[in-house]
Amino acid sequence: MPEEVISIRNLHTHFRTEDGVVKSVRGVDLDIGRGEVVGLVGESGSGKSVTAHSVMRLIPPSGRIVEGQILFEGADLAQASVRQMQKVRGDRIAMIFQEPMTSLNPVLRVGEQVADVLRLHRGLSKREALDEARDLLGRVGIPDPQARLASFPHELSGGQRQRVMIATALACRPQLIIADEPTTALDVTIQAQILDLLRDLKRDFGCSVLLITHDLGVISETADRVAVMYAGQIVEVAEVAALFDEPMHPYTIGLMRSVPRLDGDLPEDRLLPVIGGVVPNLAELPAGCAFQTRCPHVHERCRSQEPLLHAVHSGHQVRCWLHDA
Amino acid sequence: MSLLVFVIRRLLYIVPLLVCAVTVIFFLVHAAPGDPVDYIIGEAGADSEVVARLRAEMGLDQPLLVQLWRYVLQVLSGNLGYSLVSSAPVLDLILERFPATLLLMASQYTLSAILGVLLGVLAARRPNSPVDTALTFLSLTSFSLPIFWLGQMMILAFGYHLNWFPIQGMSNLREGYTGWRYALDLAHHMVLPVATLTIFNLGLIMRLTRASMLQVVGQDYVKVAYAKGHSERTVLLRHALRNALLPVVTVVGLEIPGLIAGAVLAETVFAWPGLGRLTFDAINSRDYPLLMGMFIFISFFVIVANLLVDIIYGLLDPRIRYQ
Repeated sequence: MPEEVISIRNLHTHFRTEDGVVKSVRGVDLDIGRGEVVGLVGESGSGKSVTAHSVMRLIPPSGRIVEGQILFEGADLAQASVRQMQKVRGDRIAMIFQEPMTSLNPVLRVGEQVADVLRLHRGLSKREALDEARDLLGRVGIPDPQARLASFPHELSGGQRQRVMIATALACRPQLIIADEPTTALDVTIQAQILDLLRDLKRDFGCSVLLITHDLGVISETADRVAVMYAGQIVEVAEVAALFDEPMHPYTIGLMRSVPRLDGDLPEDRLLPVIGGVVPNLAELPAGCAFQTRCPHVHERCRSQEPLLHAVHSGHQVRCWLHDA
Repeated sequence: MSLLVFVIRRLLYIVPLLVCAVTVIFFLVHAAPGDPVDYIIGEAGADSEVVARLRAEMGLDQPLLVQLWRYVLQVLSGNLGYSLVSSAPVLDLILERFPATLLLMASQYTLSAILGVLLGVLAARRPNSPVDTALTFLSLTSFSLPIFWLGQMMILAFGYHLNWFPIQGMSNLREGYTGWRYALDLAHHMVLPVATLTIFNLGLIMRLTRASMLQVVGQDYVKVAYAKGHSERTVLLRHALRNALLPVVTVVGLEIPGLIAGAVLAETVFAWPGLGRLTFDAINSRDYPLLMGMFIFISFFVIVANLLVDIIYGLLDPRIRYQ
């Protein structure tokens, strides 16, 4: 693997709620190499978004990083001061959000919103920043970028708005872009265009990408490596091809089965297979494996001992007793 | 350009709106018990011939609709009639008093808007924190206090006991100041009435700003602003506040008629020689032409104020289209 841009070590993020402490992230380890696209998949509530927001230190006030390190450019972001984080955000690590329709400020002009990161982090004048913003808008495929600078967000389509968000994220040439479900809110054709754009830009700008999604299709087309999250832990990590060829964790296998395939045979009952049961309550986790209540292969050991993430082949790690060497 | 067209069109609307207002005011006043002739003649009474002549002179013998038509034409030509008490033209009386009221209202409005918005943002910064709880308590108290009571307490505390500020009027007539000394004296007289009205209006604006900010702070674009590396101060004041102000501007605009009612109370308590006092006196002396003139003037003021609110709204929110 190439040199690491960011190393997340044993990250724990907890939230205080009325039902007690919710352990949303429970010991996540993840490295992202230079120029690498790592996909983070999992269902809602698996902790993938909280992991990303922890890296940016943008978790709501009820949440706290209780343990672990986030090593980035020689500093531990988990311990960084507010001021240090402000220097990192938008400049060294940029983020693209799920909802392009609501991610742009409705009362500010598009040009201003792209330019303001450049003015903040690069100290450019308004004029210089707007010129640069125009070039960026052109770069992400927005037609007539000069005219668009003066547009307001409501004059743009969803796909165009996501392009504006991407231009903003790229503005300061960050080391890492965190894309939190960047295509979920878009329709399928626009989704494909945005994914193509992300791939091109990654190649040209050489930045690393942490791509968060629940869509395995998006992962297979875009990512180099995949980490599957379940109940606040990474349960399987592998190169994208290896994961799709040979999924090991019962949860990963269940996820893959629940995706409809055009080339595969339909099951007898013509229904898609589902993973039975629901995600466990993160405030009251059972002893042992977190997936035990939904796992088709559950046995005695799963109920008493928590499995650890360990390498089965080189680069393919899984957290399951079935694959214990 | 569309804004200019919009403003011109809205200015043209003022005429039909005003005609409606005049009609309503006319019928309301005519529905009130009593006949103006009785007030002119007084207790002593007069023979029926004199009464008939007076009625004919004042046009009261004509059918109601004819009277209305004449009155509307008269108002539209800028003539609001003559006061029954002082015989002066009503419009002159109103315009003479208007600057005093405008000064008071503009000062307190500016002050309560700035303070209310700032305190609202401060309260919304950490919801349910001690600061927020204290500000909530303060704002609830401030807009629950009756203006006339608050005004009297201010006079009692700061005027009478502490003797820091004059307790009534707009200037020290005995000294007859001019120039800078006059302005200073005027400012000194303004402190108590402006403070009273500001305290009263502050609470509502603070509450609205807080609620609106809390809603805006949860929006995605605020999270995006943080993710860009902006400081909390920049995010709140530059990215969030402008969005949060939209509902505040609407409600504050709707409050303008209430402002005038507040002015009547405050001007009476502080013996401020403005429109509020004029209205209060006109009611006491049953000066109908003056009263109707006041109502029409207030209607005009409210219509213009609403136009201003619409313009401000459009400047704040680019999604508003003037068509």
